[in-house]
Amino acid sequence: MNNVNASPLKKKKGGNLNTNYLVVIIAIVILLIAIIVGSLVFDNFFKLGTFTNLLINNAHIGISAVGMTLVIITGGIDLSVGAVVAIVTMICAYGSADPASTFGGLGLDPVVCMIISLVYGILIGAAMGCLIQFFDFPPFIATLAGMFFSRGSCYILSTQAITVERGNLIDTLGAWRLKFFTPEGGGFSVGTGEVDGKVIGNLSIPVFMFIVVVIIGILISQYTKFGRTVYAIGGNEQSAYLMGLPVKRTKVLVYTLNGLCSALAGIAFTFFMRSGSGLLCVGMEMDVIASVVIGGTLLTGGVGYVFGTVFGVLTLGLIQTFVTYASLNSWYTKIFVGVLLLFFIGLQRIIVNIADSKKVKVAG
Amino acid sequence: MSNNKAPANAIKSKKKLNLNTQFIAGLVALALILLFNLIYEPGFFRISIVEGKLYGSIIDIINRCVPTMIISMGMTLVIATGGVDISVGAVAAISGAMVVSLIGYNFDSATGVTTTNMNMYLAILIALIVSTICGAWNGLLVSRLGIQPMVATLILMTAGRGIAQLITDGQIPRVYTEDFSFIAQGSIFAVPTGIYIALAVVLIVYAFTKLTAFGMLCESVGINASASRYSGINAKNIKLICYTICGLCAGIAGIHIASTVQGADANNAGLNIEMDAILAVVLGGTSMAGGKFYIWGTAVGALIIQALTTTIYSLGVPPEIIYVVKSLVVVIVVMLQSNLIKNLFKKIGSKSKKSSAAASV
Repeated sequence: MNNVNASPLKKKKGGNLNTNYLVVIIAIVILLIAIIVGSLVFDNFFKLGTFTNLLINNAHIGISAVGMTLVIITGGIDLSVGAVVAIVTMICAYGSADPASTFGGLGLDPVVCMIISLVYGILIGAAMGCLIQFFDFPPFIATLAGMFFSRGSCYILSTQAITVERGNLIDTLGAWRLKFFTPEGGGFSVGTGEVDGKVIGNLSIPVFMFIVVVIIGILISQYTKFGRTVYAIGGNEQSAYLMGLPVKRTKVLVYTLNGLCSALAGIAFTFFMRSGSGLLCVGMEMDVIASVVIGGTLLTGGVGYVFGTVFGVLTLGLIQTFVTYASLNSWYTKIFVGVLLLFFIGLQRIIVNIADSKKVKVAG
Repeated sequence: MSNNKAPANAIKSKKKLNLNTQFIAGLVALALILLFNLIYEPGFFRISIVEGKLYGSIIDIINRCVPTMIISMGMTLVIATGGVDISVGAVAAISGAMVVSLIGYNFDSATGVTTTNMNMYLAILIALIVSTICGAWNGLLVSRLGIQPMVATLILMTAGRGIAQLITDGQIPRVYTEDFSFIAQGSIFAVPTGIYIALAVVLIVYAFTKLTAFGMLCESVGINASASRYSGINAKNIKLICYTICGLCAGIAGIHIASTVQGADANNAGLNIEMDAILAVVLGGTSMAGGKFYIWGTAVGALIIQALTTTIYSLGVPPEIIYVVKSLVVVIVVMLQSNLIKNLFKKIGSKSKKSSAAASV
């Protein structure tokens, strides 16, 4: 009797895991196919520089996407990320600017500005989490309010676009590159600063931030109690609550964590742009959500991997690279991203349907 | 069976409370904003007729909120079925791009002759058909493929502006004909034409939902889609129709926006209007979870948003700060709708009832 009961459960779990992984595997395969097609179609595509640039240009989206993955796994959504990134660029650029300059900044230490940014991210995330958890706000509306608040606050600081001065710590860190180069005698070498040889690719600090955030994200989501609770809430919030899991605390924490990720993404973006403006990253949240979806996370919650999101981010970035290489007009990027989204969402739908029909069979 | 009856009653009483608190809260909020304006600027309610056209802050508020109001009508139906459509801004951009590109205004500076490629009414008809197809596409994804509404409409939201730019070829085409600018800027009996369009859309949607069974069917699908299906309602088709209407509304708004600026800016036409429309619906008392919806509440919601914006402009602070104010208003209004506050109201209500009952005895 025990055996009979246990086997369908086991089977079901196995089946689910397989289909969950399948979407991620498909994301990886699509990325590989895209890279192969790119190498065949465009000359000069398959080289280290293309891929390091891909990382440099998309690091901030990647950092934010890690937090968004967790939020979406709980079945929520966060529209505030683009606006939080914008306000963080403003806090960093305006806060550290010299009061005597044309922008009239605050003249704070850049490190203090970054700490304020992180605190802002945590606070706005926690505030949205509390609205969602304790006041029954739909996540869409609560984070929309967070988005409006952050975007508006940018303009309270300043309505101008502010360039970070040369020599500022942010400027120095932003300009820093880890360079891969071929020394004059040939071969391969890694170095920083002025290198003698032909530079074939480089990595910036945001890229390393991205890598660290991804590793922490994978560890948190897969190997901690918190991570398992996140999945449980996405699967069925009621059941998670009845199981005695700390649903309330976890949900608030997930949004707080995402706020922190958005603030980190903002700092990364400040390094990348070396300027701040309230107009930056309008609509970035949709890019982030799209890359999470392409990475195999279901928007219904309960299914998805931070690992898959990385490939979603890279696939999305690669489309941009393609459009640049093919010297198409920029609007084709949007259309291609839309088509890709349609493909992935359709695919996920089919997989979920197959999994459901299997479940019915097992149950029957 | 008796089990079924109890929650139905509970829902009914809850919804009744909704109407009372939310719709009145909306009206009070609007009145407060207008009152603030009146105190700040005594001439706020003054309406004058210049060149056979009504002018004044109140007219301005109503006139400027026309696109949001039109879109929020379609959005109300979509949200009533438990969905959401975030592609309306992009659909509005497509519709505007379509109509302006089709009209194809040419001005020969040598001869001073203007020519157009297509009759304006035909162009408008085609643009409306295209936007209806966009809405139907969303509806098909949601109802037939069972994709989550937000994701399904995310596709068109991402691709839509690309498509609009494709139509305009990345340019901002212009149309300066009098007929075309009449749609948004003209006036009939001194009242701006846009107001007639908005009023017509509101009335048609109201009639369509309240005089036929359609509104009730929407609510039933929104409250419980599978229960509606078991009771013989074609939930899929109801959803499809709602999204299609939403697309059509977005198309009408897109043409209005194009007429206002006498051109089609694929990047900025109707930018963030989906957020405003959703806000208007929520401010009007319709729950994002679906179910009972309030057409007039939505109309008041759209007016609140525009009145806020106009107030900020007239205060002379940087207009971008409107975002902060909007966020605070949303938080306050939605908080009033939350169960925590509702229960508090209920407690107060039952207490006063008890005390009044005691007094009558």
